[in-house]
Amino acid sequence: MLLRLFHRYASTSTAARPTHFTFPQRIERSPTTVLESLNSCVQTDGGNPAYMFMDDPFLIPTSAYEKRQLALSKASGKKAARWIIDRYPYAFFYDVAVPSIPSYFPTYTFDEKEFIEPDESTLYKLMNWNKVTKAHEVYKKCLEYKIDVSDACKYALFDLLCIYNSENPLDALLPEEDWYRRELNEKNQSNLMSRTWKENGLAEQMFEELKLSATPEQKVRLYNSFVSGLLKYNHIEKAMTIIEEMKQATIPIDLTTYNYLIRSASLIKESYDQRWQFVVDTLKEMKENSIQPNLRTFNSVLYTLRRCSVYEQGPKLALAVLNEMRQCGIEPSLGSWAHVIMIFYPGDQIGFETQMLPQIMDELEKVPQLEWKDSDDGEFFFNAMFKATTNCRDIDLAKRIHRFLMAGSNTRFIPDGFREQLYYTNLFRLLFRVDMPEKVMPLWESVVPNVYSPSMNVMEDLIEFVSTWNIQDYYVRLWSDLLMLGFIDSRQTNRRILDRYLTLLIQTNQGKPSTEQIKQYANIARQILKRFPLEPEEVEQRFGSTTDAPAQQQQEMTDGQQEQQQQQQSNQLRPKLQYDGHLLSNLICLLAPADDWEASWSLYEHYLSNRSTLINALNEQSLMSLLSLANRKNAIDSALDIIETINELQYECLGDALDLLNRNGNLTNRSRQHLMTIQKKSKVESAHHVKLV
Amino acid sequence: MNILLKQNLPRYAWQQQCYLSTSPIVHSWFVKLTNVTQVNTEAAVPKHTRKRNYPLTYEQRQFPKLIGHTKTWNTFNTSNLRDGKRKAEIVSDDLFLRQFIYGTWHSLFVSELIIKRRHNMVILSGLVTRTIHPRRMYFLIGYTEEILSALLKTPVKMEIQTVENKEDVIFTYW
Repeated sequence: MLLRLFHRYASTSTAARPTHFTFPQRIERSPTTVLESLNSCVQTDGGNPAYMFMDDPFLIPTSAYEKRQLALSKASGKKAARWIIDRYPYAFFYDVAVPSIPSYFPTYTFDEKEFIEPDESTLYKLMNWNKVTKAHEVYKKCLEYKIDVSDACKYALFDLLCIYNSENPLDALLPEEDWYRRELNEKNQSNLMSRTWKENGLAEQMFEELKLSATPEQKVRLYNSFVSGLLKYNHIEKAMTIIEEMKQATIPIDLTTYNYLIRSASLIKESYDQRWQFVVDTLKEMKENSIQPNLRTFNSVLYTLRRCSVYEQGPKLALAVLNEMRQCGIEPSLGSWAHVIMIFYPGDQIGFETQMLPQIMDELEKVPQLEWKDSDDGEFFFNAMFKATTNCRDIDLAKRIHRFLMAGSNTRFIPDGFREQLYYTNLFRLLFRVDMPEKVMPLWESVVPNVYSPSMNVMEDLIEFVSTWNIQDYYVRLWSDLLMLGFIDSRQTNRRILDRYLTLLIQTNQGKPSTEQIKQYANIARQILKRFPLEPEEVEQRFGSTTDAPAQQQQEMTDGQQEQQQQQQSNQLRPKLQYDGHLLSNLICLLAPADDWEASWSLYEHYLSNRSTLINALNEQSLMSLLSLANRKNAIDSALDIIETINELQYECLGDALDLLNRNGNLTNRSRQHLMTIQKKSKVESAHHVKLV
Repeated sequence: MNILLKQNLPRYAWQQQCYLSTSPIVHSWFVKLTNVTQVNTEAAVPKHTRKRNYPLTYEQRQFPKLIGHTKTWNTFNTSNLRDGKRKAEIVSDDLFLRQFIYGTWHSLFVSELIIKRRHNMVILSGLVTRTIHPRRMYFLIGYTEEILSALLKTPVKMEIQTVENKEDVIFTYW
């Protein structure tokens, strides 16, 4: 800026002053230009929660489950408000906004009076409020009472019936719900190719009726909307007969209908060659009728090609189509590239040699700002990442795609939560398998947990990754990550993760860890114990004899009882973590080296008292570390107890155990005797090699 | 702000009105026109309790004359600037918003509701206790935003912060 000012100053001082001045041309801008340019400055930032959540530690969700729960509860709050607004509409007619904003008003409810004298204005109103079926009813009434309805109105109604398949259109979901629409609404799933067209529905009735009275120009619109509707809802046979009818009556087919026709070519023809032939024929027909194709046409062609999976002509034809697009002056959209990717990499193994994906990325990175142009655009990032990780297995490429996604506002091209989950799962599974920790961890930290909450499989991969590279610095971080992402709870499915993590810690404990690390690991074990107490407190009926207490006190007592009952109920509702021998021995292995005698001994006692029900026995390693701790603490009786347990379980380490205790100077004669008897009775061979003093 | 106040006061003192002080009563006491006992009749200045054990938040302790010095306004808008629009409407809207929030977020807010108006947007903020589950809090947020938008015909957004309990906001005992 300064430099530019300087230049300007320099130029005015040296050059001769201009004698006249012309004002610069006014640039026409839309009312939202400022907002758009502001929007282009915004980047996705993993450091903050999504805009829909409050920026407060208590209210920021971290796990995927929480995110979904909170977003949906916000949406349900909005719905509750909507219900109130519709229930008491008279309170919401205060209109101060200029221009007034219709979506802040209660939804228009139609009076019965309006239907008594049906006319065109009622029809238009109904159509504006998305009541298509009701509009058709009123239209019928109009016919009955011989009220004139203009042709424009009739055809508008017919178009709506075709577009919405003779039903009222679904209400738009709230943005919070829209992200989870895949789980909420089964109907909205893509690639559902079953026939959903309503046979003999309102649209068909109206078609038959209008057909009789239509002028040639009106027939064009009538037939085209009807065929488009049929093809949209996959009623192919009927559509083909209507098209035949159109050709016989020489009614021209318009661009939208051609697009739908090309898109459903894979349903019309069986074999791949026939499908392609059909597409080519249709395109030729368009050329004869001099209809200029648009982006949608080409995307439909690519879509049809993509649905011919493992078609050897596919890649060649796709390239030809792309060339054709360029010649027509149409820039391919993200949707076109998404189809091209699927054509070039049809299976999991094929297509690596073509190097198509890097070329596409080269192409895309040249475009300064991407725009939604076609409804297929939302598939691009998911497809690209999927193929980059499964077919190419190229980390640089995957990272490149990810960088491209994070640039500008490109994240909006991931349309829903499900796709996003798959996208990140693919990315991280590849990186964990191939890449180095120094490069993966920053990327992981930039998206977890605010942008992406990993699923359990990815988390297991992460633990695996951390353990193979043996990044000890990350172990404790990993624990807090696990806590934050909600994997440490009593659900049985998450049990695997806990086990896996503890084994990881113990593996490093066997190598020589620093005292600092031992302390940290013991802290983790204590946290687990605190979270899931060993024996849930048994609720005693302490308030059995309150009959002769004063009334007020009794009141308090019952309050106390209620509280306790509630606690009891919540205890029952909360599923408890099932401890087993394996988990117990893991915890002992972590606690004993840190000299935490009380905690580790309580675990051991818990094992002894619940032997009959616990699944696995304590393992050798844990018993030995507990024994050495007892030895250090000079708790001889406890040590003898442990040795007896080792003897009962018939572990080979009995010899070492006896030897360890034998060397203790503080051993009394009685304890020595006890030790001898254990050795004599023992069936373990190694025990007899030790020479007891 | 402080410097301005110091400079301005002596200059305008003879005019018997104070431009920057928010309370005319303080000023009148200052020039000794009314009885001294009236000082404590000022709005929002509580009397000491006998045991001095009545909890006050920071905001309640900073009495109105300190607005602009040690605390800010509870509502931010431009209606009172020169050529400001909708003066009366904004005041009554604010009254309504406060009533609505204290009823809907029952015994959850532990501070005053701060109402900020930016462009055509109304932003409600304040401190809330963590006595209910985040799930329910988000339900209330969604509900409040939607219904207030429909009432005021302008986008309403909530930006709340949470504190552990009511004791956390006690500044002093009075």
